[in-house]
Amino acid sequence: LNAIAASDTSEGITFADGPRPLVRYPGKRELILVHTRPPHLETPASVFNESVITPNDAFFVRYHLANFPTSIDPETYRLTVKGAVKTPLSLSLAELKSSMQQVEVVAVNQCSGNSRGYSSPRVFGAQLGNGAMGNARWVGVPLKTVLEKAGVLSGARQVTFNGLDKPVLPSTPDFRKALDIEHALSPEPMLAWSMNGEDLPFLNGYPLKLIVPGYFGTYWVKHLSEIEVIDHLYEGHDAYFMTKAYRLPDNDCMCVAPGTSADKTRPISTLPVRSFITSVKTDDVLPVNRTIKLKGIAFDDGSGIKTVDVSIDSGQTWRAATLGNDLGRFSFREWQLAISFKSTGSAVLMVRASNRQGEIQPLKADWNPGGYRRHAIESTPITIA
Amino acid sequence: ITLIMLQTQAAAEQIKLPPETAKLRVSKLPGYTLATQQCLICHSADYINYQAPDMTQSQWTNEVFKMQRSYGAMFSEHEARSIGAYLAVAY
Ligand code: HEC
Repeated sequence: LNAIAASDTSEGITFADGPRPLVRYPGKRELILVHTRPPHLETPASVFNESVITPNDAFFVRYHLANFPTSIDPETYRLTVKGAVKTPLSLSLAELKSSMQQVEVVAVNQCSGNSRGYSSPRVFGAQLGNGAMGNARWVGVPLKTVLEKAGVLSGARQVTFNGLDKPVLPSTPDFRKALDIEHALSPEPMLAWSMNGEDLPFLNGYPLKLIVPGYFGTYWVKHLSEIEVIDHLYEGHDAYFMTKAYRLPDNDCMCVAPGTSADKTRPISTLPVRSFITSVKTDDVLPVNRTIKLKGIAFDDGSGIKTVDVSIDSGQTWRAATLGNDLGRFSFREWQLAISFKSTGSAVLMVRASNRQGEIQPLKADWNPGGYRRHAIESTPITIA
Repeated sequence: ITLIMLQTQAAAEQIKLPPETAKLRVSKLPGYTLATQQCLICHSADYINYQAPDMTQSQWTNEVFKMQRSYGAMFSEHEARSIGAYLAVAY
């Protein structure tokens, strides 16, 4: 059991306590344990080869604060919209579902710290493999529509979001996030109650979650209960997860020399282009002189995947993979490539994606103190026999 | 009235979380007792157990200070240093 978790998603990561176990939480199949309280669970790598949509029961789970509700009544649940608005609102789920135009998007939710365990030198924080990501079909209403219903006053600068989770002690900051008003009023962000055709799983933010396509998961507030329009940049004790945490060096590479700190930082935002091989895992043995179909996924911030290239010779030569169905620009994009290995021995598979902005995955990972935003080319050592 | 209450109860989505079994590594160092009192108030021990091995004493001590300064943990500077010393040895 333990060994499966270790080799499945965390290949090459060492933990002080040895391999992490698979555990079962409500509404979830066996997932890899990151933390028990509050729950933090990682998706096993094999799931990403099952389907381009990540099943609800396999979708990763991430909380920051342990004082969150374990019982939520959809009848009495309300979403409050307040602050710099003409008409403050208190919306029931039924009102949200019936009174506005519904929208749907397939979008990747990737944790800022996905793959943090590979940071070198290592950094504190959840020691994640590559399983803190998932791709789902979200249905809800545009955030913009809700804000327009309340009537945003001129002078609005940001919109803050709060969910039902709370800190254990009042001295700990609450988990709240902010989006700039232009972003909040853009077509993309939405308030979703449905994930892959079902109610949101409890541990993914039932009954309502903020969806911010193209942005890291830290903005995707769970159990969303309060939206406040403010006329200044969010600050203060409860702005901690905007102003102190989830920040990157404020320079072009969003990186610093390994082991150093940044003078100036800015909030983490959009997903860099990334790709994975899902059909082969580290140390697999593949046959020589036989055609094999390699398969995987690529994604970015919504600019759109342009190319996926695969190397079977440690990056010396690359060949173009074929892109699969397009489920929308914020979705995982499948890719495939038929190859045949000409000689036996060890080999290293690599995959590299580029997007329509001209962004391309770098060969070598850069470094930042939070271990955020990893997106270097992935290598999968295998044996040909 | 009881019936109505039962109905509302039934409508609520409820989950039951699995039991917490993770424990801090036992040590004779004074920081161990302090850590068991302080570090499990806000989260489970696996927050600590699954960090990278071989983090240094100064790294661990800084992490403990982060709990105090950023997250409002209530211990003295002296206690923080003692916990840091324990964590560096135990992990
Ligand atoms: C008052 C609350 C509180 C106390 C007490 C506390 N922590 Fe934390 N700790 C937090 C919060 C909040 C986080 C961030 C949780 C998250 O993001 O999942 C955290 C995260 C961590 C992490 C993960 C890395 C990181 O920086 O996010 C480690 C390691 C950790 N704590 C160790 C400790 C140790 C050791 C102690 C005791 C000396 C301790 N904590 C006591 C609140 C606390």
